Amino acid sequence: MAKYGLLIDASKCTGCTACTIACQMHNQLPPENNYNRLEMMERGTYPNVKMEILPMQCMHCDNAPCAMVCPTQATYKREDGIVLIDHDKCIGCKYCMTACPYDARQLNEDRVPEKCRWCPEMLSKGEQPACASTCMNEVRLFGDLEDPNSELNKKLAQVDVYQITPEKGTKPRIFYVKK
Amino acid sequence: MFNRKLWIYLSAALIIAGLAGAVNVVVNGEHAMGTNNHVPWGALIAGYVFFVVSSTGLSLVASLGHVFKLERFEVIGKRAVLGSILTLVFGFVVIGLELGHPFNMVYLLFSANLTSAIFWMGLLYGIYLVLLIFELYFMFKGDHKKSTLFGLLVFISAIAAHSNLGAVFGFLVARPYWSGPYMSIYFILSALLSGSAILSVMFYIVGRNDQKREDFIYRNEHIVTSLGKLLALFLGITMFFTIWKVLTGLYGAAPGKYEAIMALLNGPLSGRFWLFEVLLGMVLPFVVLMTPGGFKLKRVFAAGLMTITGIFVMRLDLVAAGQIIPHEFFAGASEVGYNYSFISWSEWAIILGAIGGTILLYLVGEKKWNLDMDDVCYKHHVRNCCDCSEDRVISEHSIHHHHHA
Ligand code: SF4
Ligand code: SF4
Repeated sequence: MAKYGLLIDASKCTGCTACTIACQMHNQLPPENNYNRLEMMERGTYPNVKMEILPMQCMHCDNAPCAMVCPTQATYKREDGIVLIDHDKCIGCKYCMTACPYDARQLNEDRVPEKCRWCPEMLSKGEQPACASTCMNEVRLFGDLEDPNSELNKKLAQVDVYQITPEKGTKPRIFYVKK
Repeated sequence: MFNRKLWIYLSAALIIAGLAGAVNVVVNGEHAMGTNNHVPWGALIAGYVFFVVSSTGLSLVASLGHVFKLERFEVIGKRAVLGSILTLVFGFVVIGLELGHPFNMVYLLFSANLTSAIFWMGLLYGIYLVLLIFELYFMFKGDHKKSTLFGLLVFISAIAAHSNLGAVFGFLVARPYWSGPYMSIYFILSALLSGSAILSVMFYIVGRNDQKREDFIYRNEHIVTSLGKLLALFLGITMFFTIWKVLTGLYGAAPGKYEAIMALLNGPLSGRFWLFEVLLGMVLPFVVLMTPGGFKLKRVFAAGLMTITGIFVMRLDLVAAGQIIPHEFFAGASEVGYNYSFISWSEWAIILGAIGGTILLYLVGEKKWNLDMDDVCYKHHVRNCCDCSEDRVISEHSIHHHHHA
């Protein structure tokens, strides 16, 4: 069984939002929904400023609070680590939304809080999901954390990484390259 | 003086408004609500909390009399338990409309998640409702043994269900304003506050046709006066809780918690906080009660009304303050913005409609059933008094005649 992870090198991101659009296309989302996004923050004081960009999407947390709080196990974690939602069991309580510290969830028209799935249909074939494959700078790299020869593990061995708000205890599966 | 017709028309109008709001929410989903992806829980969650806090409060205060045998409070028994059932049921109505797929709740049984506080919420409030109904049933039957037993079970389940509701918020590590044990403890306290405020208002209105009803007087004190004293006590404790919540939130400026407290003190929620929560909900009623002559019935009634209004806004703020501060993803970011949400007309209408429904069904209860204490000797304030001759024991029947005469 694979154990999927994602490495993001935010310093290479130009902010073109191709990933957001590719995801919307792949998942047939209406324009107001997007499963991945770019968070932006300005650092410095004019005229010495720069825009810091952070690509964000569901972290498929190992200690996923959304799955822990879901009353009917509509949100569940698969063995490979992917966190999915069974629409038929969702009562629409939005508890998963208040529990997620990354704002990964978006309510869809059917009143189910949806989110990035890490496209298991691509990962299981060894392919990169749309957000990663569409990116001109290869900001994202998905892979198997348990396979010592995976590209992901090779890359992880070369760089220093950090995670976003690890103090929330979520044990996210997205690693960001330290600048 | 008590104008039953007026109350019926008023509650019917509220119910009609509520139905309109409910239809809008059912048809248009979240578009009819003031929530969004950053503030997923809105006024309907606050309204639900308001109702179930009321329900818990009514049964906790009622238990003073018929579980803990403080004779003074025995008289509130049936009315409080009936009110408790009705507020709980209308709380369920409100949350049912807030849920995107209420019918999927069957999976609470078939696919229960034991780590979910909302699963436990459903289970515990369900048990609590059933126990309440049994309690009321045995009260009507005059079976004191069984009604006391069920009263005790209701008390235990109320504490369990309600502190668990606090944990629905308290378990959320993602929301610093809510997370921790405070919510569970605070919810029990504010239930006691709500319960005594609602009962003060209720018994003032019920007793208004006959201020000298002897069953409301115990050792020369009217029940509304006694409830006013309870109210003052719980107001004092609530002020104490609020002060320490604010001070510990400010001290050390813990990320997320500090900003949420500041949103209440000096941010987008400050008007509501100072005016409704602090002034109307705590300080004014406390002053009204604690100044000389404060436990006169009219003043207790006024203090109760103010407190209930304040508590309602407290619920709105509690839900809003937990989500108003955006999650911080960048290390060392200095600027804080706010997550905005609003209360839509449909949400107001649903909450008001549920209040109307509670009042209307309660009036039906008052008409259909005898909600007074039964078989009590008002001279010695005990049931089936042995010191008196038969004729001093006022039966259910004679009380009824007495105050409907
Ligand atoms: S990022 Fe949010 S939605 Fe995704 S697994 Fe973690 S808690 Fe759940
Ligand atoms: S909204 Fe649905 S998926 Fe989210 S916690 Fe509630 S039942 Fe689970």
